[in-house]
Amino acid sequence: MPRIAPWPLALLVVAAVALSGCAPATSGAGSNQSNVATGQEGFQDVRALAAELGTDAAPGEFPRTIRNIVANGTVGETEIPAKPQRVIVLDTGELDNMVALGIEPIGIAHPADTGMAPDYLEVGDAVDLGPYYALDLEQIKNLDPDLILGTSLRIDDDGLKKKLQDIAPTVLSPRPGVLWKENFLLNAAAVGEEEQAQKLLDAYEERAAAVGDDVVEANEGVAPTVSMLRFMAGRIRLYGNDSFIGTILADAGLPRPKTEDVNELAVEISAEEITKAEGDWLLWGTYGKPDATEQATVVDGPLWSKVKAVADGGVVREVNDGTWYLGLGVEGAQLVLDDLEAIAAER
Amino acid sequence: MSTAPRTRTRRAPLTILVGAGVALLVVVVLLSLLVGSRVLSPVETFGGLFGHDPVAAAVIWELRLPRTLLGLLVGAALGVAGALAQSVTRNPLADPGLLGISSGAAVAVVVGGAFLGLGAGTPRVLLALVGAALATVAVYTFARRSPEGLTPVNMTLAGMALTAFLGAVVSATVLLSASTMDQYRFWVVGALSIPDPQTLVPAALIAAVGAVVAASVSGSLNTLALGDDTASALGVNVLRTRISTGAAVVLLSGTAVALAGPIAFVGLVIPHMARALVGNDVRRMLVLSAVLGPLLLLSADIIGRLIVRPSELQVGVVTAILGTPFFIWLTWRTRSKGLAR
Repeated sequence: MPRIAPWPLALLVVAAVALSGCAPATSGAGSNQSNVATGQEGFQDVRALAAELGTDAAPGEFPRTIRNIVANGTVGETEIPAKPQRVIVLDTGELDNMVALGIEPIGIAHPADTGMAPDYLEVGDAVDLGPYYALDLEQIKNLDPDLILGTSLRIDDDGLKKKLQDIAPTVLSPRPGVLWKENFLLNAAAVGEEEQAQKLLDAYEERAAAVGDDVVEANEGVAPTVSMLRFMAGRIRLYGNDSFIGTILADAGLPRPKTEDVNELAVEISAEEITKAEGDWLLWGTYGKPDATEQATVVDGPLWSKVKAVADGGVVREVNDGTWYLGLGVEGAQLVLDDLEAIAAER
Repeated sequence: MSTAPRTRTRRAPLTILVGAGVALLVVVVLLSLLVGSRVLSPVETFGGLFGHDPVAAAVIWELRLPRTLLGLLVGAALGVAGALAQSVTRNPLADPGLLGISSGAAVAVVVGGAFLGLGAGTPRVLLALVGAALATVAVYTFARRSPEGLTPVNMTLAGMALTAFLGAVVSATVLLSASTMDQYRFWVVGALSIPDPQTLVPAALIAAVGAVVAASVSGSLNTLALGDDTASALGVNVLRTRISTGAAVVLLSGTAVALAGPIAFVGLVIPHMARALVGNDVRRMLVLSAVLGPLLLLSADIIGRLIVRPSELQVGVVTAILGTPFFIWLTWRTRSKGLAR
């Protein structure tokens, strides 16, 4: 009887996993080519869904009920008996939101490749709950929280949602990124800081418009189209309108090149197609280790000098992935505006 | 495996087979230059080939050519290494993965990446070679210390045991370090992409040394197929032949694994195709494997570029998908012919 080596078998498994992760990219509305872009909610209706969420309570009034995602595709009510003191956040967006409101979470879950929090956020004595796809439920229970904040996209299993709801009142928004402002208001409603949150958002929007004006002025009175390029392990993305950075550029009144002016999280391209980044300005970031991505092949690679912004002498700049792509909250957005302002000033 | 000489009269002469293989290879190399995730119109392609269209020229000559050369090198190295491994172990299911070589290289790359921060490029090639060599020495030592001595079965068993152990080391390292995981995830399925085409030169030199060693032992391997005792009686130094062959396999597959990850099935499938075409003569098998290996690998790579546009399916995934039915058929055929031992 011939023995079958474990390597081929292991590779078969790997192949199957890899295949399931590389779903063919189809064209058409709502086709999202990545796990991040693919939520259980239809991507198109996500803003309408977010508009249903929130509270009717008067400012500062507790107990209050919060309409939020209680199971996949289901909006329900969560009662919060008193102003929460022990808050757990399940992703960077929620962390940013709490820090912006002056609340120190007691426990933090985070993306796989980052620490507990991006560099720009102070976390104090918070406990590390592990990456959000492998939550340390026992630790969460031990911390005895009185509020858990997250997104349905990250906590995509209804069983897990139920377990969290059993531990403490849990408020989930549909998804991170494009909904960051809606999420901020929802999170703020859960902790009774909705007025403060609205103030911060108004201040952000006012500043975004001003920074946009600075950029236009620096670019000789013409608004430059901005390409947002990101290298990740195994993929290269041009970020579209339905992303964190897409909403910030829109708030600043900065136009996007045609390829990126789409209502999607991002458009995926290959290294050979890098000239699809057609913005007058090209801002790029790298998630995780540059070595794991195609950054070295592309940046200063054979086609780099043919990319529009490089060829025409526009702004070509590496930006901080931790704020521009992972920020996901108003604090991160303010830092993005800082960077944009600095770029405009140097121009 | 049968040692009875097969009738050679009905087989096509080696030169014609190799000639046909090389001709096909030229076609595939051209396709590999012309086909990719970026769609080039015939006009752009023509302009790119002759340098009139700067964008297309950069795509063809600076992105696709290094990748194609890499495919040629890795494919040939894997094909020859597989033929050597199957001959020296007398095991038709042997490939560089079986003797612990791929996993030795994988462990070295992963550990080097996680703890020493060594990334792609020449450091990785050297690390992989060291890992492959250490694994081979370990397999050799284990097999030699077993009661029956250094038999092909013992080498295969020791290789499988070591592969399992090293697999656990890789898993542990990768699970402890998320960023290594990210890097490893893509490397482990095998892909023809290198950040720096300069890496190809030292790698090609190392593989060339392996090829020379392979050529020098191929005659002795033919005699070894008759059995250890017979080979000794015929004046072949069995031990030295095994060690030289092992060294050649390490140099060839270590280079291939370092450059492109542990690509599955090429090392397994190619020697069988070669054997079916030219019979059991190791020298003929080696020559034909060196042509068929890159043919399969480049074809798989081109398929991978086309089926999930604009992304690419990594070549290791495509060879696994193409190789699996063949592997199953091979197992079935080996058994039904009563050749299994």
